[in-house]
Amino acid sequence: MKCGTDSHEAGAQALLVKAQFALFAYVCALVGDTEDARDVLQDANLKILRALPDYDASRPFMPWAKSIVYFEVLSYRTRKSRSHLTFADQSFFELVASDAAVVLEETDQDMAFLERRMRKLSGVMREMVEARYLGGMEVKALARERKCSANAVSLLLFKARRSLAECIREARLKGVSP
Amino acid sequence: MNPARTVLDEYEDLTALILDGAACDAERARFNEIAREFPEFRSIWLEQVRLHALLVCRGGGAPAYGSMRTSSFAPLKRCRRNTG
Repeated sequence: MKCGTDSHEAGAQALLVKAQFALFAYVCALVGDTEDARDVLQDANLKILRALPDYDASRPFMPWAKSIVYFEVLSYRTRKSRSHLTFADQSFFELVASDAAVVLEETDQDMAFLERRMRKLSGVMREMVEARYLGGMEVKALARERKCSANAVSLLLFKARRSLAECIREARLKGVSP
Repeated sequence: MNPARTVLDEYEDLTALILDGAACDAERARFNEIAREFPEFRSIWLEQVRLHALLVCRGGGAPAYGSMRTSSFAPLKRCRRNTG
């Protein structure tokens, strides 16, 4: 059911806005570098917008959008020097892409969980996460401020993300509403 | 090098460095080596990247849910901050 009407496109655009978190997570998973992921998603968004008249509204939006994003990621991979690719290994990249197409679907619901779970982080972890993600501080700058190594900061952020992931997973399993 | 450290520990460290934009070429190469040898570790990557993306979005580094105008996707690049 292809339809190029204004209402069709407006509906599809609304779906695209709603999909931004999940698409961003998807690109991050395939690209690794956050700044590059933003650029790739921006380019992919433009391609999706241009392709909206061809979108078949009787089919799920997300797989269609992800297929366009995926090709944008492939294009990025051909442009980027192999030594700078997070996934230089093509087979591992394809495995990640296959998993990411499925497991990163519900990112928007996770955002609601995240807000509540942030409060459960220990003081230092929460401070680091806020400084890094809300304050936009680089890991090296955080390390200088905290008088520790960049590796130590990265490891602490890793643990914070893991702790948040576990809290969210647990809340989901218990059927807690966000 | 701490002998008690496992390949999994190393992979987790490298995952953290990559997501935080702090990995060098040698570390990325090592990450790829381990990934090739232990493809099952990708669940760790996906878990970390999901939270990383959520936190970036929460911090305003990607379009806010429901508040982005579809006529202007430029805000995606609005916040080119140091988030990795």
